[in-house]
Formats: sequence, structure tokens, C-alpha cells
Amino acid sequence: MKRRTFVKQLGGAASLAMLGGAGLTAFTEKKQRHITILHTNDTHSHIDPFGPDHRRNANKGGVARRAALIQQIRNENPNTLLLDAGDIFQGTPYFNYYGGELEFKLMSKLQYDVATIGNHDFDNGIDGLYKQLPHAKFDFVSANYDFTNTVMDTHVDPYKILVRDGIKIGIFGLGIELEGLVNKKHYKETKYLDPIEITQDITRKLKEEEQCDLIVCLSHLGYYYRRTPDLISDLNLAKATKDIDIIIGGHTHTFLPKPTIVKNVADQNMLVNQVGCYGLYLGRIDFYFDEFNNKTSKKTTILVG
Amino acid sequence: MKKLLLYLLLLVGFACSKPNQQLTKITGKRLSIDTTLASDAAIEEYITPFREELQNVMKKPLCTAPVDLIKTEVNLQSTLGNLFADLSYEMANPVFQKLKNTNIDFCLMNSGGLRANISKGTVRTENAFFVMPFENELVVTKLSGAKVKELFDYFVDRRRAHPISKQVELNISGDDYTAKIGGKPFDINGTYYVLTNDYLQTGGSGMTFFANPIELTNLDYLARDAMLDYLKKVDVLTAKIDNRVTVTP
Repeated sequence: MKRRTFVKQLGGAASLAMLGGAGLTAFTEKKQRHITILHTNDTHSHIDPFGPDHRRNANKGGVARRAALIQQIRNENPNTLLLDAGDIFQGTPYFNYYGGELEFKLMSKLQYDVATIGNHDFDNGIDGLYKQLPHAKFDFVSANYDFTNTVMDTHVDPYKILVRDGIKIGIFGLGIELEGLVNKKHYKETKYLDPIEITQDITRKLKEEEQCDLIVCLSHLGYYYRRTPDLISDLNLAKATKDIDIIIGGHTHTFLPKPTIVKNVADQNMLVNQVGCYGLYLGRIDFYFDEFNNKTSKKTTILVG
Repeated sequence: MKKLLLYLLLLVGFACSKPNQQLTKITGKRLSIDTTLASDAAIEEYITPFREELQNVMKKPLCTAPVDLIKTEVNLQSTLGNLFADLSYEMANPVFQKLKNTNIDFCLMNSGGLRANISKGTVRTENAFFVMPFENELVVTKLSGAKVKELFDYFVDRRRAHPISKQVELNISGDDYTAKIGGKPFDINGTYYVLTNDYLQTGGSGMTFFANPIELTNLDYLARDAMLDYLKKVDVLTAKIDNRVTVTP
């Protein structure tokens, strides 16, 4: 809107020619836009790579290596987002000794954009999580934890909207039920709200009010529970809701070799992904957008693996 | 000139309306973090002082173990389990005494909570973290005799070497058992102070008998800190299989 008023007020021939030139290039090329989303989950304080003698994960993982890979991808595509689906804390003495300070500092160095909160992020109590927030130069989202009457109140948003290359990306967070999983004295007055109801609400808001081009759910609900198939999980959430493009999950330490394609309640394909744990893998999802003159919906090709 | 201005305004105006962006393609894959990637030098350099400080703390020698202390189960006991239950009792009892002016009767933990063995030789700070990575706190539950019976039933029924302290003598014969606590026969009409951790007290490992105790005292003492304090206190760290639990067919 500002640009329009600017032109109206101007009127000088020289300025017009300059602006005209810029306008023309923008219109003659209908460029394809490309957003890359990189993600981790359940890194559990694994800062150093596993040693050469580790039974399962010998020489795998390591934050410094992850940083190099992320930088390489950012060099290819500057429109890259970096997300984490929770359980950043607990798993090595780095957490026991520094209380999560180094985890947050490194994620800030790696330029994480948004993370959600896992159950283990309460391991030093909600106060222990709060204490480390100054070290986190990224945002936390959780739509179904109500932090009213806790120190975390106002420090966590239900969702964040990021714009990259003109593409509006809505990212919301979901956490797992804490009762029975985390000691009440650790999560205190944090209230757990129903993930499906919250998701229906938030996706409507992101899609209709905010007009997001892409909707991402960062979930710590867990991929799927075979023994209790009705329990809320990423797969169940995916099937019961609409307008989410991808659920990036955590909690169950599920090593998916490739993202799972799921049909949502509106019979549209979407993705659910999770990359195990301990920073052994990085998930990479690339979204390509094309510009069209009319609003008729075009087919989306999904390639995984 | 006017024509150009109109044309321009049209163009700019069009640019301001939201272009119709449509998602046409998604690709998804998993990337391995392994030795094929070189480490980011700046990040590596940033981690180094944290790692070194932590290493200095973790490698600090605290005492010596003349034998391996392991989870291997013998007569529903293990050397590591006996060590853990007894040291927890020994370190927690003075704290509890100060608070309640009475003694803890015995300690029960879970075998799954012990995550690593202690190899013979120098025992360092890191060993306590390997054995107990979790932030579990010591709690004392005042239990009715009926609940303590449930506890023994659970122990006998599960046939796992859950760490139990030496104040208990549990003689299991087939599915039957007799129990002594502090040298006296177990009294179902009595009450007992049982030391455990907050994870088990809230139902972990199916130990439901710890729920809703007559009284619950949180010692504000991490189980791992109790172990660390004990490792600092002793010069020689040892434990053996004894008669606290006996099993006859």
C-alpha cells in the first residue's frame, strides 16, 4: 500500500522511469519460489557425536556437523527455516551440568527459527526452562499448553508467522499431556488443552484470517501408539484435521526413512515426519510455489525418499 | 507521459494485491549427520571450553572399586542394586532424621533406573551420571503394613532384582515368602517409612503401592547427588550379594 501512495505523490519523469523499470522485471518473470524447511526433534542434549565404540550410533550425530550441513543448505537456498519439535533437554551430562544453557546457545548459533516444548524440557522444572530462555534467540510455540499462572506465561506463543520470499508460513506448536509423564511439581500450573480442538481453531485462523501459504505443525505428541491406537498422535491428528501441510513430530523417537504421506479429513495429502532422536539426522522438506493468475487450485506433486 | 503513468500505476497496484501463490511441489528426505560431514569450525570452537570444563568435572576421580559393580541378577539381587539401595538409605536417613526425628525403615528402587554398570578401577563423577542420568529426587513414604505387603507381593511376583536395602530380609520359597524389616518380623498392622524416588512414588515401574501414602516427605535431594556424595565419602566402593533376598524353589 505504501508503494502505491509513493507513486501517486511523485509524478516526476525521472523517478517514474526508475520505478517503472523495477516494476517491469517483477512482472515479466513469474518466478518459482522455494522454501526449505529443516528440522530436528528429541536431540536430548546430544552435542558431541557418539564415540566410535557406541553400540548403535557409533560416530553419528554432533551439533558442529549439523551446523555445517545447515550452512551448506542455506547457501543453496537462503529461504530456509530451521525448526525443532522438542525434547531439547536431558540425555547427556551437558544438560545435568549446564542446565540446558549450551543447548539453547548452540541452537541460537545455528539460527533455529522456532521450536516447541517437549516433556523433558520440564526436567529441571518450569523454572529451569524459564531460566534458560535468555540463551534462546529463537521462538517457542505451543498452542495447547496454557501457561497462565506460570513463569512461562507470555514467553510462548500459540503460533508464529514467518515470511520468506513473500511466502507466508504459519508455524504452531503442540505438546503432549504432561500428567503422568512429568511430575506436577515440575510443570506446575501448566494446563494441557485438547490438541485436535486447538488445531482446528489455529488452522482456521492461519488459513483464513492470516492467509498463510504454508502451515506447519511442530508436535511433541508422538508419531503413533500401536498399543493405544486411539491416543492422540501425529498420524491421528493428521487424519482428523485439515489445512496443515506438514506435521513435524517428536517424542516417540521414530526413525522415519522418509516422510509419511497422510490423507487429511478433507481428503488432501499432507506430510508427517520425524527424524528419530539425538541429532542423528536432519529432516529436509522443500516446498515449491508457482504464481498463477487465477485462483483455481493446482495439483501438488509430493516426492518423498 | 500520462499514458505511462497510468500503465505504471496499474502495474504497481497489481503488485500490491496478493499474488496467487500455489504449492505445486513438495519433496521430503532425511539427511544423515555422520563422518561424511566436516564439522563447522566456529561451532566446534564454541563448544570446546564447555566440553573441557565438563570433562574436568566428569573425569574427577572420587574413589576406587576393587570389583565390577553390575546389574547382573543373582537371587533377585545385583551388586549395583545393593550398592545403590544401601547408599541411598545411608545418605538419606540423616536428612530424614533431621526433618522427622525418626529413621527410615528401608529403601526400594527400580532395577530399570540403573542405566550403566560401574567397572572396577577408578570411579569418577561421570559414573554417577552414567548410572543415573535422570533427575529423580529421593522421597520417603509412610506406608501402612497393607501397602508394604503389596510392595513385597510386587517384588516376589515380578521376579526382578529391584534394588532393596539391607534392612530387609526377604525369604522367598516358591510363591510364598516371609519378611523381616530391621531384624523384626514384618507386621501387617504396623507402619513403615520407605525411601524411594519421585518417579516410582508417582507410579513408575508399576509400583502403585507408593501412591497416596499416609505421609510423603520430599528430601529435596537428587538420587544422583546422594550417590555423588557417597562416592566422595568413601575411598573404596564395593558391594556384594548377601542374604537380604533368598530364593528357594
